[in-house]
Amino acid sequence: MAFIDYLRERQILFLLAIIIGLAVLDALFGGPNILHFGIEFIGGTQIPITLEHSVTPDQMANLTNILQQRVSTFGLKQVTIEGVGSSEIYVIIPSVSGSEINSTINIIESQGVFQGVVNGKEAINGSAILSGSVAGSQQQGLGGNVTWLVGFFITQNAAQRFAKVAFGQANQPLYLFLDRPSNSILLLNNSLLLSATHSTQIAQGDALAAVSSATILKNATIPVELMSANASNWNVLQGYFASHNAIYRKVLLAQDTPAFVVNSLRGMNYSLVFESTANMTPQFIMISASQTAARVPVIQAWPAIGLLSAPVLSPGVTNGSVSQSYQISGTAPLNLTPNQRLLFAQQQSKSITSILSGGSLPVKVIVGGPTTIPPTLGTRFLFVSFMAALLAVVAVSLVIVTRYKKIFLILPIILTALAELFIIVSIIGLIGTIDLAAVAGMIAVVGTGVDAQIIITDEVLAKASGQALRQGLESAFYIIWADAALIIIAMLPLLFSTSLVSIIGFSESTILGALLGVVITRPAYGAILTRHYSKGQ
Amino acid sequence: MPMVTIPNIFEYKNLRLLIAIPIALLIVGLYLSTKLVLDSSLSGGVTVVLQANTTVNTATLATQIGTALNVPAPFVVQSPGGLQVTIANNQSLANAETHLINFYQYKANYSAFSLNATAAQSGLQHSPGNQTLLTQLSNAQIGMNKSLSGMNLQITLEFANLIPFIPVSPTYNTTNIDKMSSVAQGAYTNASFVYKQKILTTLHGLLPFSTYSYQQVTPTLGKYFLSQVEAIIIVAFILISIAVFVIFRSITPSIAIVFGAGNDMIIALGSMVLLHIPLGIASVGGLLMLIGYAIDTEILTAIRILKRKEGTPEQRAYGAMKTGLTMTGAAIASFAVLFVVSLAVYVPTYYEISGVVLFGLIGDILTTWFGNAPMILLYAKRKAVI
Repeated sequence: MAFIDYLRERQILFLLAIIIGLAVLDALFGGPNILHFGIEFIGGTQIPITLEHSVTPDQMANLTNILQQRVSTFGLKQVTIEGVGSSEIYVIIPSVSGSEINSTINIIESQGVFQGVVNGKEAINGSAILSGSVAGSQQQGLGGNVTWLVGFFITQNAAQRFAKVAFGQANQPLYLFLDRPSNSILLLNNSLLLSATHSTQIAQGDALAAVSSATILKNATIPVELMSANASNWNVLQGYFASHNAIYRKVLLAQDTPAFVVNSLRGMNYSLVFESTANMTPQFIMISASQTAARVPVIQAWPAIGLLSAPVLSPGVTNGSVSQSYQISGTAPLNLTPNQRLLFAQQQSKSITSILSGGSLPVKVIVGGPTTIPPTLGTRFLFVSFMAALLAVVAVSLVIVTRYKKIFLILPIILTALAELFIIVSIIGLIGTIDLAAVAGMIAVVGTGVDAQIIITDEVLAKASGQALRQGLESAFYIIWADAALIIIAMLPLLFSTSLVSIIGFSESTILGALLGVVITRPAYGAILTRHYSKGQ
Repeated sequence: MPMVTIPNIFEYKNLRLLIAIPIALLIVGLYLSTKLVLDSSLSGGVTVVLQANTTVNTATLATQIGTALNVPAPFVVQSPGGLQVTIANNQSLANAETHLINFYQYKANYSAFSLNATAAQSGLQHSPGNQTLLTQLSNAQIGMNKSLSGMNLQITLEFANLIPFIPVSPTYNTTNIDKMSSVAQGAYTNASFVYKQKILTTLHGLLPFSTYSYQQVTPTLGKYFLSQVEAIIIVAFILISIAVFVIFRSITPSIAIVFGAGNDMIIALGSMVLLHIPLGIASVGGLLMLIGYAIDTEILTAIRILKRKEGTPEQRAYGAMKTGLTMTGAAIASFAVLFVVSLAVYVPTYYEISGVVLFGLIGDILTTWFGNAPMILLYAKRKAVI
């Protein structure tokens, strides 16, 4: 009975192809450090956050987005924000250090700092805006025009200050910043500035003037250093950075900055804030100071420095009169379809509202006591789980061999069980998270998966060879399909639960196991058995 | 070839007597499951899992911890690999949380009133002496004052409840609303930390350990999770009943099968009480597994008895039992491994899942072969007579 004979069965070939395919995927995207493991295995902290009142699924999605954005703007890597039911959120960080837990809690509790800058001076800030006074709306006007409007009130003192700073600045931009970085230098790839200017036909000189206008602020200007391609001018820039590390502490830079530049900056004791290319690229629009004046470029958004919008001051608010009520409004571009215009207007008013509220959460949150799992404990859990899975395979094989007294069976059963475990680990590790619940599910699959093999074995061993044997297989598969369908149905309510997140992995593993069983591994096992017993007799 | 000899119980005359066994188990299980202990993930409270190899007297330890922390004696479970201490909710902390939530409610009202006031003031600049605006302004100011005193009351009550953890209440300035709310939130967060430290210090004083995990669940959240667990189990049960009915398209076998699944669950819950395994969020996985899995062997039996033609129904039932016992045996083997491993190295998630399934499966042997299979056999015979 040559091994090669088994490869003639397409079910066996299919199983092998899947395993090889996943092994390649694991090697490319996975590996022990990249397959996603939960904090139970790598150690970490889970911080529960209770919402003041329950929210709709939409609001929950919005909340988790805001929190995710907030933690990522502060450079906290790998923080997971998970909505639990309608009034709870879990923040999960892969760290157990007290200081990191506290800084995460602070970021969650704190609001963003809003600043409005006109002509290099702070005209308005977050504490000036009366809380709850920010309200956005959209309106469909004549000719399909869609305008949006955000109104807000400011305190009396702030109103006087605004009137003073905005005086004479008609048609100039009001730069709206959220969490504008302090003590920072921006290291900008020249190519990003060029690409932004190329697409909009802006002269480089005008672009540089716009950059300077957007970054200047009394006592807190963000210097912008332009870096040529491949950092070829680094020898010049290096001198600047070396002589300024006493004044500035942070450098904002692109993620793809050459390693030698990164190392050099670290050597100068700068702390580095890496930003995506999209965040580093300034977005220009053209405005003109009056109907007769030439159009000049202005940066309207530049996320790397927290610049999120730049509405233009209408002449009515720049004549020195003091008012406590303001509006920011705009019109959706006419080159969009009517539906797109409405969406654009909604999105604009939403984002301005969020900036003015300091990116604050729409619902008040209460941070609860964190659950911590030290990494040493996690490693132990991982080892124990691995051993448990192997032992389960061994125990199950022993039961089978004792029952059937046929040593031949042991190899196919162990191989199919291991193949199944490998496939589940790969799939969940690549697209989900392997946590304790998921592993418990995998071990469950070892025990339940073998059931199907027992049914097959009983039907196959009971029948004679040839035609009847195939019939036996068919009737076995009817029962197996019914069993798999029932396990999946029983697990569905848990799979779609939005609240019991800590145990959802169990349903993922068991459902995946049941599916794999009927579609891939069990047919392969059936093929091995049929071939063995029909040839053997 | 000599096989393990299991008598063909299905040839007994009084099949109905067999059914009495699972029914008796059901009654005992139902009685026991009223005494089920919830762990802190479902009841709220604090769970500390210690990986310690020391042997302690759990009852003494529970009393000691209770006295030291001034709480009802906690639930302590010991296994060779570790120790799980489940401490009930701290009432002061829970009260403080309620007051904090009330505080935020008053604060939201305050913001709304102050906005009205500003809007009215702003309007009065354009039309001085406007009576409607003046009324609006004075109403808003009354509202602001009321909300402010509400905030003051709630923050005072919160701090009063937190005195066991923060003896000197933090000071705050009633004119700066934002600072006030961060003081209120900060005090609650600090108190949670202090409580955690206090628990850990107490435990350190009573027994040596180095690795631990700490989990705190508020009572409201625990209640919510419990309701979710119940809802999920009920929905799964209904879905399964529908699916079984679709497969068999007749009432009696479907009822027999669904009864089997329910019985397994009750037996599992009863065994957990006897073995002091608490019910936690993780157990829901085990219970669902049981619903889906218990049905495995029952479907096999029903199909073999009702839809096959070889031999007598009794012989087919006996054949099904041989296959079914092997299946359940294999599953028991893998869950027993998980259970033993989770005892050796204390892993509550594994413990809670495998405990439920393991004892449920042992119950399943009795339920299926003494209850479910005879019921279906009786049904088949009656149908044959007709």
